[in-house]
Amino acid sequence: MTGDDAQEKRWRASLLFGGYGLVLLFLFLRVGHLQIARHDVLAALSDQNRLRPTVEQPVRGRIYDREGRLIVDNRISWTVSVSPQDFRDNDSVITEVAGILGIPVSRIEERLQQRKGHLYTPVPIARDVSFDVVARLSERRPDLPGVAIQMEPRRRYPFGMSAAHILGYLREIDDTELAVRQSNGEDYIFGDLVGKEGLERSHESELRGSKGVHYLEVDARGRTIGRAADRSGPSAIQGSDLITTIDIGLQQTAEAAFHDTARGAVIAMDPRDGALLVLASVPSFDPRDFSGVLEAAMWDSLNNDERKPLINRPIAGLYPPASAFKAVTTLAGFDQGVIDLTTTFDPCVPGGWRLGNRYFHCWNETHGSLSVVGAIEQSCDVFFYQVGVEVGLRPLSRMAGAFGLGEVTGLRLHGEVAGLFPDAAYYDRTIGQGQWVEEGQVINLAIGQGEILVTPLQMARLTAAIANGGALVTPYLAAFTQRPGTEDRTAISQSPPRTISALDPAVLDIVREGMVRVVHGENGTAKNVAWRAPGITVAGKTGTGQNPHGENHAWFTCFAPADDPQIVVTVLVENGGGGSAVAAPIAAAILKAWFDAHPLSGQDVSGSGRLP
Amino acid sequence: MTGRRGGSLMLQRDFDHILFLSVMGLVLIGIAFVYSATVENTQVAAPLHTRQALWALAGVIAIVVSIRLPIQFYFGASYILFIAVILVLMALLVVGGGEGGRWFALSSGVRIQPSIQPSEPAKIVLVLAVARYLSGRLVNFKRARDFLIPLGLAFIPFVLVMRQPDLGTGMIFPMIIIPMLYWKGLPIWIIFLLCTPILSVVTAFSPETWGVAMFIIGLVVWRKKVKPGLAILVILVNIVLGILTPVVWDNLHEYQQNRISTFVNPQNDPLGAGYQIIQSTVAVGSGGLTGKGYLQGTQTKLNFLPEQHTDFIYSVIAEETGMLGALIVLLLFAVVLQRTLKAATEVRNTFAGLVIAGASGILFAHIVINIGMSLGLLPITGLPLPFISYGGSHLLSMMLLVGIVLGLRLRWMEY
Repeated sequence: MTGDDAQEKRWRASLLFGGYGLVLLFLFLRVGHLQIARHDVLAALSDQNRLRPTVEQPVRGRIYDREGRLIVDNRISWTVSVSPQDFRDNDSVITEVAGILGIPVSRIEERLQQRKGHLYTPVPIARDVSFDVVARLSERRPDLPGVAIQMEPRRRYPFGMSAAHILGYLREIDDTELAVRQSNGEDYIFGDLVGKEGLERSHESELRGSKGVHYLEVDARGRTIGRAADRSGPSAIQGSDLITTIDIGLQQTAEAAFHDTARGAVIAMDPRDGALLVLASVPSFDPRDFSGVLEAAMWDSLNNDERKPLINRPIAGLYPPASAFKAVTTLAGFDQGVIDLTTTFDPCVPGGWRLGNRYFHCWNETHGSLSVVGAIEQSCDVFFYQVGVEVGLRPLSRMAGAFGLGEVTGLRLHGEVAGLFPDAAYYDRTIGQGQWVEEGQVINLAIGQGEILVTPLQMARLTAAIANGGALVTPYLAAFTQRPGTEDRTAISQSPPRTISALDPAVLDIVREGMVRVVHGENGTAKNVAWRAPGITVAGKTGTGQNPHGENHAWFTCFAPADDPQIVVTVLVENGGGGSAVAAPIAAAILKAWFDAHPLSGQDVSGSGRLP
Repeated sequence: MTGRRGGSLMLQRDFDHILFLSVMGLVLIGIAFVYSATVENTQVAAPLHTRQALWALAGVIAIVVSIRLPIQFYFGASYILFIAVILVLMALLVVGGGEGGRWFALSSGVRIQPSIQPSEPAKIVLVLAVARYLSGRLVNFKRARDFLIPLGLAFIPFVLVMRQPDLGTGMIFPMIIIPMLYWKGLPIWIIFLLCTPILSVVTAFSPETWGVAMFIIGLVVWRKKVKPGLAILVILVNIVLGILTPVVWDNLHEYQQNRISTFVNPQNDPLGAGYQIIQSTVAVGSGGLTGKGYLQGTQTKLNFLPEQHTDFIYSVIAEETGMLGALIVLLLFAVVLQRTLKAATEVRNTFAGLVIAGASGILFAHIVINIGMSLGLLPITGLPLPFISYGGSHLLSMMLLVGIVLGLRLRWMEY
């Protein structure tokens, strides 16, 4: 071997090793690329492989009445979910799960289809399953990858159907609401339950709490190994309890006061601040029907029920207020200087009262000539016809508006309607400009008939304004939130009352005097209240709303005690007949129950209607 | 002959301690990560590190034995062994074996462990046979047959193993003789011409690219004044391959097509054929700088990483020990390759030098193809990582190869 040969070999070895080394260096650069430049992405993918974030649903806040009675509670239920990622294309698993759950395979597939494109979120396929199902699924779990059984709190209603309209219910969030809430940055996902009506809806954010998350580790076959020790998320935070102004006992009294087939609304409210003690809509429904998956048949039967149980009548039912409106007419009359204490009008004689060539009848044509107080006491239509005609449409409309008619009351409850108090523009629109005569319209409006439509809650609010000296309160149901298990309460801010200007206290006294005489006067239209609820001075007004579609709607709205009002009670009975005969006894029953529980002891009555 | 006392090889000056210790380091790393890859693997009944350690022990014995054999033994046995291995490979095609025909059961009928994969010793035997041919005094690459015969020798096991079918192992055979040809003095441009068939195959799917490749080949042929016969052969082979490749593609097994097409874009089929590439790069990348910790690799432990104790063992190391461990393994391989090539320069015997150069080729091809695959750079071929991947036949034959290199190095003075 020559020296050149050795040189040549070394050269070749160097070149060969240079080649090998370059390739190894390139491999190392690739390692660096994966482990440094792409580390974050690939580490996330690695976690996505093995970690299944599992949502811990927070325990929803409970709802209490004003006395601390639990009216919406929670119980434990089991929800079966599947993770599409681990469940994919596995017909035998789907079939077996469907068999155990007793639901058709198509339903599971439908649910998975709805959820297409969201591989990593478990989809609930059956809620509130029986313990037997839980046991059978748990047993088979090793062979059912992607199937999870989660604990989920569900609502329980200790008072059954009582106050169902106020409380509302929870349902699975729909796509529209989901999109809105997600765009607001809220952490709702498909399959979450959300408050759909009532307080559950209006106080969703307080009641809901916040979700927690923990991470389960799964292997390549989708089998759960256990909780991931190296990863944890926030714990679920229980929602705040809600302390309401409701008196559930009084609510039940109100609901029970109706006949089995009767429909109507009852409101009991503290006139001083608008706290609602009772907000009853009859008939009610069973909120449990909504708690799971509401079958279409159930939905249809509720919707097609002639008695319309789903309508929340106190805020969504519209009725002519009839004579219960006469207080507003009176106040408008004083405001416009049309009447004073000494005013009497054309007597109420047989044939009623003639305007132009039309006769307007009174309900009782033996009234004779009455003063204001007497006219309210006896609810003389003829008196108010004449007041109305002299006041005119615009001032009457303005006064009605001042008392909150034609606008929502501001109660934080979904579905409230504004009602209607017509003005000139309204008639121009509906009848035609120049086609209507002011007197002809205002004469009906003056006695609460015609186009005027109110909700029972508007009437309660109006009554409260008369009772409290002219403050238009905003009714409310939710008084406090409270951290569960503590006494740590936070008052929910309420809208301040709106003072009705241009109300002369002396005039209000006159109206109240008339309303006291409705109950306590010799010729009062609601004298039965006085003996049904003895020992209380009640000021009230009956109403019998004419209804072209059937029996009259019966109204009675009142407050008590008349000299220091603590409670307003407004009753409406749909197609019930006369206000004094049908509505007043219900109000009397509520007054009696309230004052039996909260007796008027000497001077110490202040605050008895308020919350502790 | 050694003429020296056995049992004290380690103490001899000419024994390459660095090579031996680097290899043993890699073997120990292999045992450790075979344990990590199989301790919670549901696909195997029990951790396989004990079995791997036993094979490593057998490998040490193979080193001890092979190191004592004289150069003449390898030279003399090379052709006989080559024919024997070819016969075994042919027999395997006829009778078939376990796991896609790659294995040869030691007992007939029921396949029992351990069984031998004849393609492993075939690599070594090919190196010996080619080295013997190239060491001939008349071989100087002036004649076309001087490099065509070695290519032909490689072609036989290539075809036989491809037919098993084992694409990855088959490809190894032509690859490992390239460094040997280079070592013998074949100019680089001829090696380029020899590699042109690969160029044609790769570019055959795009006529324009293939045209560019053909132009470059023609340029080299013209500039280097290639003899007319060889020039015509090279050009003819490339034209034929350019036309035939799309046809052959259509006749490939679907899994073979999948491996190749999925390599081009793993996201085509993330849950199917692309799964392995994706999960392997995820394992490596998620390891980061320092790794998830020994036995803590989630891709490994939870079996997202496929074939983790064999084909993807490097991904396990990269996941659990991060860039540090990945670098250490690469450095050890670099040391092994460097010491091997150094030995090639030191031995005076031409045959011995060629064998050692071939050994470096075997090692290098496996390292690059296996790690390249783990890193998502190369298609999945199922080639093991020398000294580290689980598998008795491979570990034993790789250690035997090292034993041969150590033995030849020991006799560097012999002509």
